[in-house]
Amino acid sequence: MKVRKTKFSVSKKCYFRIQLEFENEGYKDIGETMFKFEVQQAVKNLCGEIGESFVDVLKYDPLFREAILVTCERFRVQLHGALTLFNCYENKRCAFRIHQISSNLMNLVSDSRRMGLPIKSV
Amino acid sequence: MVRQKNRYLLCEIIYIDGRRLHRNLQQRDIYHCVRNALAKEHGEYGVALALRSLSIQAYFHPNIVMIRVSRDAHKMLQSALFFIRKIGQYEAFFNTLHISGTIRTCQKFYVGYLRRELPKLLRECKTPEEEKEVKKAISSCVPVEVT
Repeated sequence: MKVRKTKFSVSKKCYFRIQLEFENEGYKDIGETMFKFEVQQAVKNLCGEIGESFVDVLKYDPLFREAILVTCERFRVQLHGALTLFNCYENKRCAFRIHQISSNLMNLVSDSRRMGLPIKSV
Repeated sequence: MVRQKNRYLLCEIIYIDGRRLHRNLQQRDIYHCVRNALAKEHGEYGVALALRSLSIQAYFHPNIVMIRVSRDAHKMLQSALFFIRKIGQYEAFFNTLHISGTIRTCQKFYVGYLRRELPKLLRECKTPEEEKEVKKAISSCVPVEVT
């Protein structure tokens, strides 16, 4: 009997698109370095120094405080948990909003939740 | 209900000052040291995973420690042990000798390990009385073939 085998490779990288939100719009300007430091602090609290080394910030947009993080597939769940539990930056309440998680960087290009249709009112 | 599986790590404490034994070292010092190292290297997640069954049994005479940890976290513990450079008030580090799934195999290895270590003690003897004691210990644990 002929057996057909299908192989698919799992990507070893995992990309997060996240946004830092503050209560009452407290902070406006956070540099790239400080943002990376905050992400590392969040991971360090939950997963320690070894966990900290798995995360990297690929791109950061200071206007919307949005960033793309990259991590390995194995560490995805822990990073998700660490970002969720983060709640304070310089005594100001804040939170990381995780918009998209993908194993391919190109998937983060489009986001259907942000699409706006050009509807003209008659 | 599924059985809780554990791993037992047999570790040797090596002091940097060259001494073989420090009698002031308590079992709880080692426990806190291991726990703090886990908290530093693997954070709250690592501590929570390991603390389900972390316990330490110290056989102090030859500075051997047996650490019990759950099977999921034993790799975390191993990597955290690597970074320990101070235990209690002494500068020391762990040298992992053996990892096993039961206490029985761990203790078997421990007995064999001590047998292999005895001839090394013979070299360190200074007085003839000490030499006599060590030779007596060696002859008591090696089976003698009757011809």
